[in-house]
Amino acid sequence: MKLEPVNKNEVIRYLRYGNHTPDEIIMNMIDECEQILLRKITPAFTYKIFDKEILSDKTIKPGGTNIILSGNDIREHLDKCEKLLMICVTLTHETDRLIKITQVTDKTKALILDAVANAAIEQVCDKVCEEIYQKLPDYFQTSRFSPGYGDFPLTIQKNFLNILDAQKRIGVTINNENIMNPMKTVTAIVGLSKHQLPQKKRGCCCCKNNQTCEYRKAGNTCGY
Amino acid sequence: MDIKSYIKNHMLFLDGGMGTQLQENGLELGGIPEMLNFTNPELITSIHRRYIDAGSDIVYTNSFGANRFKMSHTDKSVSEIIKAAIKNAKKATEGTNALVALDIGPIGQLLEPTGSLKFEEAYDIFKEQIIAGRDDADLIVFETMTDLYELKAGVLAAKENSDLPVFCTMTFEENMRTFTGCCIPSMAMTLEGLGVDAIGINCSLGPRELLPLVEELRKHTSLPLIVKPNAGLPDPVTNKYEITPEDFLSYMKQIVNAGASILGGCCGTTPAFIKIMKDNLTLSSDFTLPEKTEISAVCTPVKATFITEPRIIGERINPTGKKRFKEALMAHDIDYILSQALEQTGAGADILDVNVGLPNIDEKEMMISAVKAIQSITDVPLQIDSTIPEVIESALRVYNGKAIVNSVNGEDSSLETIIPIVKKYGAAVVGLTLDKNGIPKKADDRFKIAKKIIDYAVNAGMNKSDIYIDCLTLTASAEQEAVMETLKAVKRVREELGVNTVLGVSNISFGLPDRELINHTFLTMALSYGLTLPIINPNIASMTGAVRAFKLLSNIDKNSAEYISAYGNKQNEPVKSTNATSTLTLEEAIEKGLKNEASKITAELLQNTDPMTIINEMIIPALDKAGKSFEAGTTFLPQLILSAESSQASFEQIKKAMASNGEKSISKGKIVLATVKGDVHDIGKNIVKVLLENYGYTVIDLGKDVEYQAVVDAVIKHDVKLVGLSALMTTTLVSMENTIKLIRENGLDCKVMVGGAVLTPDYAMQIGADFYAKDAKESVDIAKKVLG
Repeated sequence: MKLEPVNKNEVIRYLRYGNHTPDEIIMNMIDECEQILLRKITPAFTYKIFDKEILSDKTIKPGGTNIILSGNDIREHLDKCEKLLMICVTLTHETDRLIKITQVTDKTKALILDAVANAAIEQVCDKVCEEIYQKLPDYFQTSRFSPGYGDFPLTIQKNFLNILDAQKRIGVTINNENIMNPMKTVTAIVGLSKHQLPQKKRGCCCCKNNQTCEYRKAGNTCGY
Repeated sequence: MDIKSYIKNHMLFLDGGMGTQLQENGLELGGIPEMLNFTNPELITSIHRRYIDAGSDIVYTNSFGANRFKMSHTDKSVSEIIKAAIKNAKKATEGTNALVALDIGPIGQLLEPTGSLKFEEAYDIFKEQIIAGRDDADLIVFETMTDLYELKAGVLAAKENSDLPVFCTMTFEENMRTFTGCCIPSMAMTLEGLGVDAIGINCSLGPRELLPLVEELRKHTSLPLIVKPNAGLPDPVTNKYEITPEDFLSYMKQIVNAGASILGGCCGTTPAFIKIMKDNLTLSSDFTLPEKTEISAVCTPVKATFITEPRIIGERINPTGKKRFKEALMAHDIDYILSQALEQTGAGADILDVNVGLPNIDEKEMMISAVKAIQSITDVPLQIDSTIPEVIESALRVYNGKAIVNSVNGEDSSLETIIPIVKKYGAAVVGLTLDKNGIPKKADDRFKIAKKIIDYAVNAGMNKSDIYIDCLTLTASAEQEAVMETLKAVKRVREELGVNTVLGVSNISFGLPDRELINHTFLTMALSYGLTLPIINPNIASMTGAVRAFKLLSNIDKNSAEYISAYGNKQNEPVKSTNATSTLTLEEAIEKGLKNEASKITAELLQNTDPMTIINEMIIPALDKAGKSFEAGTTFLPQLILSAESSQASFEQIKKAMASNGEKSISKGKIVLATVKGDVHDIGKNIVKVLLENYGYTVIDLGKDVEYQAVVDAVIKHDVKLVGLSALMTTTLVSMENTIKLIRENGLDCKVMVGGAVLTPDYAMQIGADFYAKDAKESVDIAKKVLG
């Protein structure tokens, strides 16, 4: 998997420019950071597909595993799906290291690299999913749903990585505070169904956390 | 069976997959395999037994994840789990000759510097496992490791807490690197240096894909090779592995031909895979392990540096004669040391000498911090430079890879103390040709000392290729006749003893005008006499250039490739925006974020302007202006940081000038900054740091993932009145709260400001902070309020 050119508007959003356009110096730095990342980073990913098992209390479980996908939002998200795809995508340690080294010599560039990496990983997720979907021509898909969205708890991350064997497969680990390492890593669940799925609204407007969301207060979104 | 001697000339069969066998027997994904040692011991024993019946000489206990971190959610202790796992395996060996290996997998958390687990903590975690198993297991295996640093902690724990044989296998990707970037030569030289008994590769790939990796590994070690491949690659949809025992065998034949002699399988393999190997594979009658390699090399996990040609050792991380460096050491300013490291590697240093010795500082603590920090940002190997054995040992312990120790000398007491340390950690060493009578005047006498050092070290079990001799540069202005004696000694040592040679080149010109000319000329002469490891200032273009030119002219740099890549594009380098220098003011340079200009203008101003005037009348107003437009929303964070970095460049000039005038640096007060425990996102904290420093505050930066107590300790030690805490994740806000609580409980007279993307003013007050800083600019306003 290779990185593709990054959506600059996303980068600018991550840098909290709002509707403003950065000046030429910063725009040039964004270009430069994009080139560095494209040249140096090979993303990695792993995934597994499970049958959707519904327990007596209506909670959902990936078949053959011991983890429960708790929360109403993930249940609604996977409504009408027969299978679920669990993926983990990472920009690898190389990205963290690059940002860290850059911080010593050029903190502005490090900040921009960080923003470019944030934009890049979303795009990589799109591409990875696209590749997987092509292998599953009989299935329709929901959008991606990540731990931390709505009432789907972050505390599931450890088990999530565990059943994907993410440490062995792509080197992703997690600490006691549920922070994944490498830092630019995303986990997500996609519902799969042989029948057309209803379009669901996405975004802050229909998130239950939109009044309390910490990302939103800081002018960002979690990606939901 | 004495494993250590048996494996020198016998083939040994290990077992196959355990986890995948357990899954076939009903273990759910995400279930804890180690708990089956209690809930279904018969199943575990029967799987072991089937492997033994199939031909396994050694079975691995079902304890891959039996460590404190992974087992924290179970109701069993590490010791209970490991003892049960060994018991189940031992039961399977009854009536057979099969042996039981205590199986240890990765901890599951990433070590510093990439992750947050401390090296010392990792050592403790492994130690607990080893103590639990050492009385009953026949050997210890570490497997599926991807982080050489973690594995080093494990091997040290094994060697220091048991006498059992140690096998190590790491997991590589097809690009011949592990996820953390470790390459095969680095793995081989580091583990062989630490004295393990066999090394190899397991998991991730099938035997076909592992073959080239085994071939590469064979080139770099004389130890027996272990190979435990997966049964091909798993299908993500069905979770099944793809290859048959017959296919597996055909590739394993090639792997044996490539030099492996300890064989087994990993994920997806079954007793049938072991049986077919046992029935069909034997070692050829003339099998011998390769001779020990006599190629000098040092490494970090990512980079193996072979000293088969002159390599530059950068000398700049050393306080001797450098006032600015001394000041940085006194202030524990690691960032300054890091900038020195990056400057040298950027200029062409192959290895960095690290000397942080200064009276009145804790050299051991400083050395450990420096080694860890430098290794977090560069890949070049390090040379640990200290006169204190304890400092050397502490540094070698936490060093990731194979380092050089600088130095031992020909005195018996020096050899007796230093060589055992070097040997234990598998390092290389610089031997100085002096002894209790000082530095011999004549080349022949220095040669004799060199020989004594080499003989001693080789007798102690070191490889001759790991000893580098320093024939010692004397100052030409004081002992002119000694220059050629040094060079003659270098020549003899190189030609007759066949070892690499080191010289600290810059000493030669002490006390003379135009030192660069003398240094450069001496360097060129010394290279011709056989110097292979010049210790120089690589930032001086003519010095690095001399080494590159020498390599070209002596036909080492084939096709002038290295030389051309260093100099070929010189004319194409983009011209930095220097056109406006003369007309810009310092304020403008800072506002526009032009670092180089800010630095240059400051240097010019310092000729006739008082530093305080520059700070108060130029830098601070410029920063204020940048801050105001940031607040007003007309400029944005990247520009603010650019301005801050430009003023930092300006400050660096001021600090340098003041240090060389012997003036103490000015400080408006001390502030402790930390990213709280568990959180590893430190960009925000680092931005705050730069800004605070620009306003003249002294920042004591505790880094990321900081223990609560460490913050309290720093506040007390430095008598600090303001603490800044940062947390980026909702999951670490609780660490922030706990840190504040501990500060309050200790009754410390200091204010706390907090910040981070997920914080709100309300939450900040709720957890007991005094101030909420919404951005870096506001942290400066708070500092002004608290400290003035």
